[in-house]
Amino acid sequence: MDAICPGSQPTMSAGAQASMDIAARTAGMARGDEDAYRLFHEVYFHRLLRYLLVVTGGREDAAREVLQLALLRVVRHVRKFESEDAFWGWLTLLARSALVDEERKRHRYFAFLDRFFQREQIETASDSDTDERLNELLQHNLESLPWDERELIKRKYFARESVKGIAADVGTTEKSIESQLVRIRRKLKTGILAQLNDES
Amino acid sequence: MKTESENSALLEDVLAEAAPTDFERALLDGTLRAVRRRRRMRRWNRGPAAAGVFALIAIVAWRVLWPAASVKTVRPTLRIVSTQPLPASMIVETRPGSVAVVASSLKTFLLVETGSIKDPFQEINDEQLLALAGGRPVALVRQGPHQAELLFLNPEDTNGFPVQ
Repeated sequence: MDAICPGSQPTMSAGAQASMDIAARTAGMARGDEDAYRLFHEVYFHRLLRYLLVVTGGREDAAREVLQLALLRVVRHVRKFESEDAFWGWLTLLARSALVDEERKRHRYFAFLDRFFQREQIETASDSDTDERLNELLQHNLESLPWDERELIKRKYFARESVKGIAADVGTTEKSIESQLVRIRRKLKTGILAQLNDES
Repeated sequence: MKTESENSALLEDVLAEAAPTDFERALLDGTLRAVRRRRRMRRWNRGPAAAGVFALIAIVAWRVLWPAASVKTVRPTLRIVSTQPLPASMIVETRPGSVAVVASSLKTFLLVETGSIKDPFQEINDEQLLALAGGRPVALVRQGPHQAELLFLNPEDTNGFPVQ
């Protein structure tokens, strides 16, 4: 294996999110319970990053920096939330305000405002639909892959075949399959972020 | 077209590369540090009692450590008083032998002792009182249960009369 895919860890599953007692967890966070923060991080880190990648127009560095600021704001302002939707809405609000402040600091406020309001419609619609937009872009980029790469992705992610099985079937090593998968994922990521950037 | 749920694992893996594992770890550590800092701050700020106690300690410490400073601030400015010798005319002196001393002794006086008189007054009744009038016209007028007045019917008798 030459790459680790944190996004595919079981803690990120929808089941884990669903089982999270949001009221208890957010109350724990408000009290300063570190375990509550660890679980929050597991569940929301990648989700928030994906959201910010869309909001920043695919700028990875900006998304990472704003994510850091947003998490610090979570620590400062978190309170008890009764529903996951309300909590996620609050998180995206924090993330957007952190982004506005960060852009303001970079003296690109007015230029940013233009882009911000142009994209406002996407943002307000994408509070819960960010993944939908990313899925559209993913689908678009998948279709533009060469046939063999697209087939490999389909077998690994859609047919849920094991890397070992694919390698045995193709007559190559697991390491080779993993390397190909890493390369294809990077290609997809580059394509998605570039398209997000173009949209902004 | 794949459904959103079918794509989600792939999407997560694709975009996970935007956040390397060490970045994710560092961010978690930073968040936990902020949580601890906030907890400490909250403990510090817990209730006005802590602030009150702190202020009290500060005041006591101030007074203990810098007592002179507070005294100096209230000390009045220095006043110089000069004195000079008193003139001789204003000095009163005494001399031995200028005052006559009278000495007394036990033989110069006589000590007279009086005996203790038991019941010096005698209470009399109405008849005895009327008898003291010695036959002069008098009247005893009662004004209350314990109050009476002796009236002399001859006005001259009020100035006194010889007792026989």
